[in-house]
Amino acid sequence: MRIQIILVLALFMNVAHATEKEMRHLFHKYDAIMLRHRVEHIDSVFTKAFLDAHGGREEFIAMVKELPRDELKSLQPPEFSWKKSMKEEVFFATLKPLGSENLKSKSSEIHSGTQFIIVKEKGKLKIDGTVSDAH
Amino acid sequence: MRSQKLWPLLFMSFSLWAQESDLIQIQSVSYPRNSKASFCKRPLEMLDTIVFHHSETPTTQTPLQINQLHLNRGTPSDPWYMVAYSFQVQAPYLGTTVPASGVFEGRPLDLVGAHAGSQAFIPMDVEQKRLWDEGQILCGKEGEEFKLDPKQLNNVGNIKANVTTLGIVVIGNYARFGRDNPNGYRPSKVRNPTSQLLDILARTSCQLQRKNPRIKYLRWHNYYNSTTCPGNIKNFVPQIRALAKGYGCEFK
Repeated sequence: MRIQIILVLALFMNVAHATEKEMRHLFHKYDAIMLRHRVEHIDSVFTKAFLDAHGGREEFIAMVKELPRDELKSLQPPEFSWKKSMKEEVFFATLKPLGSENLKSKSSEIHSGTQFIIVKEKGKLKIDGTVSDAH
Repeated sequence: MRSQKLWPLLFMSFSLWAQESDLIQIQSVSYPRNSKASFCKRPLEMLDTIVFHHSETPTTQTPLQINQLHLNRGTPSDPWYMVAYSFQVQAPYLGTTVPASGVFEGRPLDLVGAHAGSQAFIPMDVEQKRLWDEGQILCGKEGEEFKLDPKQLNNVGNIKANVTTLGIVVIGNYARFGRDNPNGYRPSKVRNPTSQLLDILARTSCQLQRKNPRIKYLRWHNYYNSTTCPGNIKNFVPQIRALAKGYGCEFK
C-alpha cells in the first residue's frame, strides 16, 4: 500500500513538473513575440480560436508589430504563476509585469492582472484567451 | 363576479407601470453555482459604491460563459461560488452590431461579490460599522450555518471593499493590446465605450441608487488595485455621473 502511494505521488509530481516546464517554455515564446516581434512562434503560442477572435493570424501579427520592439535588453525568463482549473486540461496563469519588482519597492499598491486561459491544443499548451482578474 | 374579472387587468396595468418606471430592463439569468464554495451574505444597506470592470474577453462571451469561466477558475482547495460581479453588461464595440446590448443580473446583490480584490480594504462609515458590529455580515456554505468571519476586516478595522461595493462588468476589452493584455485593442485604433454603453451604465447605476439610496459612489477596478481593468471605461466615469444626473441621480 505504501509503495502504491509513493508511486502515485511520484507520478503526480512528474506530471506537475512536466506542465511547469511546458508552461515556462510557452511564456518564454510569448515574450519573444510580444517584446521581440518573433511572430514565427504565433501558432505554437496561441490557439486558432484565439487568433480567429482577433480577426485572424495576419491581423494579430499587425497588432504585434505596432508594439515597441526592444532588441537591446536580454530576454529575461518571464515570471509567472499558474494553477490547474476545476476543468480538466484548462489552466489559469498570471504573468508578472515587467519591472514590477521596482514598482513593488516604491509602492504598497496591490497588483492584480490579466489571467491567461491556457488549454491543450493537439497535446500542446497554448493561450486560448484572457479574463480580468477578480476575487 | 365582474370585479373578480377586473383584478387580473388591474394587476397587469400595475406591472406595466412598474416596468415603465424602471430606467432599464435587467434580465435575470439562472446561473449554475458551486455549492462547495463559501460566500458571504450582507444587508443591502451595506452597499455604497458601484465598481466598473471590463471582462478582458471578447464581447461575444455570454453572461453564462463568464459565470462558467469564474467557476472554472476556482481550485478544489479554493472553489468559486459563481460569477464575481453583481451585473453583467453586453454591448457592441463602436462600428459593430453584435452582441445586442443588454443588462443581466449576476451574483445576487445580497451576496458579497468577488471583484474588487480580496486584499483591498476600505474604511466603513457609521452605518456600515453598525451593521458589522451587529453581526449582519455572515459567511458560510449552502446548507451550513453562516458565521461571522473576522477575515473580512484587516488589522486596522477596515473592511474588504467587496463587502460594501457591487461590481458591474462590461463584457469586452477596453484596454490597449500589449504583453499584459493580449486581448486588447490595436494600439493605433483606440477603443472607447460607445455613447450607448455609457447611457446603459448611467441608467443601471441610477436605477440601483433609486432602489438602494445609500449607493452614492461610482468607482472602477483600478481605483482599488493596480490592474488594467476597466481600461478606457475609467476615463468616462465623469460622463457616466453626468448622464446619471440627467436621470435624477447624484454620484460622487
